[in-house]
Amino acid sequence: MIETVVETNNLTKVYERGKVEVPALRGITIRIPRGEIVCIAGSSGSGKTTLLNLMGGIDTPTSGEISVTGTNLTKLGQTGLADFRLKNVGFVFQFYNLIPTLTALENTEIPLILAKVSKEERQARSKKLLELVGLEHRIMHKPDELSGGEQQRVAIARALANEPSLVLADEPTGDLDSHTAADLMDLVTELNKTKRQTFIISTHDQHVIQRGTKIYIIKDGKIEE
Amino acid sequence: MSIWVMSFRSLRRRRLRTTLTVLGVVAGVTMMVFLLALAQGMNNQLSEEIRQNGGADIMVYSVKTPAPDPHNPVINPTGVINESYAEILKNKISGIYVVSSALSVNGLVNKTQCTISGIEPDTFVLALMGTQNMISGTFLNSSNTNGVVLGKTLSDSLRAMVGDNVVISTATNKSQYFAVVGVFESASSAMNTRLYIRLDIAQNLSNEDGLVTNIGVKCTNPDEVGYVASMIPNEVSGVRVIVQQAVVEQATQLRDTVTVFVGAIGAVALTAGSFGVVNTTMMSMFERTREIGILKAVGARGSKILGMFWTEALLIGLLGGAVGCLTGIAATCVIPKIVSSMGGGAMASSISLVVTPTGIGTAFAIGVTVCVIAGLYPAWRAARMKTVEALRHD
Repeated sequence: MIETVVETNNLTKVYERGKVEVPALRGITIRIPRGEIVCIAGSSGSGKTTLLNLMGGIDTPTSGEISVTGTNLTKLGQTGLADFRLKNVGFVFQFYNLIPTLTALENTEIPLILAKVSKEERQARSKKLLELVGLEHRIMHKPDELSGGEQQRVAIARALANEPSLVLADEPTGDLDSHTAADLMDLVTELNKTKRQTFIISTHDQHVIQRGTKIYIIKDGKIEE
Repeated sequence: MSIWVMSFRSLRRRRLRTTLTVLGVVAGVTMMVFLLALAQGMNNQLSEEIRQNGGADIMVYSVKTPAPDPHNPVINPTGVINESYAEILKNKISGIYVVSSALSVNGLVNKTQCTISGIEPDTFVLALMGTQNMISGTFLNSSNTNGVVLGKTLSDSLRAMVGDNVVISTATNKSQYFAVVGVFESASSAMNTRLYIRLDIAQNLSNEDGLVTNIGVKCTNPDEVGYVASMIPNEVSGVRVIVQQAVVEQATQLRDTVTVFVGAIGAVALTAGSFGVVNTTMMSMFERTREIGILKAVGARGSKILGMFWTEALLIGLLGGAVGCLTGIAATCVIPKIVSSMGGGAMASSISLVVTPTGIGTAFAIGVTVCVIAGLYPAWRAARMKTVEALRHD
């Protein structure tokens, strides 16, 4: 039997902008099996990021159900969602979102610190991850001393630190040149193969979409098969 | 890397802002240390002045002396008590600054009826009499075996001046010549009508060896008068203890005024300082909204974010408090010198600043507490921030 990582049922999200209601998702029902590289494609404002945010438990749906690795996220409170994210989800953002005061190594360590992993173990694991993304020579550098591609690699290392079953990447190549973007996707494909982690990537970059094992197109808050 | 390290680094990254906030706290704590030193100095000075001006805080008489009558506050001691009681009280009860015994006898001076007070010259002024104004000559000292001092009223009625001789006779009929060494005027009209000689000589003249009519007790701290008075009957018997209420009330009132005055200034100083802390912590929170979003996305609970921001406020408080204590101590050393170098010599010497560990501890604790409280709101706001909105923040 194929294991399901994400399952949504008639998921909707409506934002309130003042008195105006703006629907971002209009009833999304999908099932994502484990070990895929899923690309969610669509134009800007189509609802890609909203869907990723709901899957990662950093936002809550207006209606519908969403389960990730068997946990019904709609039933969790703020603390429950924080704990869920810590154990099950890794995030990669378009603009890297590293903490500027911390080195590459320390940024990678954050999820492990939150998970109360001992100092020796978390440093060893972080170094190994940075080695995996090809940054073993840059571990003591701060984000402003790294290139865009390097920063995104640190973000990937951080996303993988707690060995989550799901990695959510929101336009990870949006701020990178095509060569660096291709390198990054090589890395994602490699990690997907070796660690069997599920990647869900929102993008409108054709090169990225081509690397996906499953593709959903989202338009005006609905999935188009 | 702990929460402390992260908070410390975030403060270090915003050096200018952190420095300015810490300086705000430093200013508040410095002012507190200085004001508390001033208050303590004023307190000590007040206690000293009350000690010098007010006469005895407590009078110990024989139980035969009638209780004071509100219509006639002058007490005429009746009966005698043992002279050794004075030493017993001084040794057994803590908080006594000085004791002084006196023996009042009725007698004739140059054939005029008056009260002769035998006193202990070394402690009399401090413990019994309060400030007096020497009109001529000097007060008695312990080597004056043949000297007497007259109150102004008595001196006027006897027409006796410094250098004149007076003859004293008592019920036991011992007449003796004494030389007048000084004439004084006191605020107490009763004291102005008396003649003062050494206690042992008065005892000898009246055949009352080893006995006194009253013992004056002066307390180190005017606030402790009530306690000391309550302890006296436990140590010596057959005595009537009378507390000079007016003296005690005056001291308490003065002290309360000083405390309220200093407290009000300190509160203003720290309120101003705490707004600085709230401001910095709030600004730091707004600047780091995205960072808060990242940490929450990665799995940090609200309580962790609260802890981080609160730790920052605490670090500011600890640093500002510590530096403020040092600069406060420095200010208490330097400011009086500056005032006196500016020509305020008399004023500067009248200011006494007394730094006490309690004062420093209080200022430090208040400084840190204000920072912790001031940091609470921004920390709570940060902890409650929505992850998605925080991540969208530029």
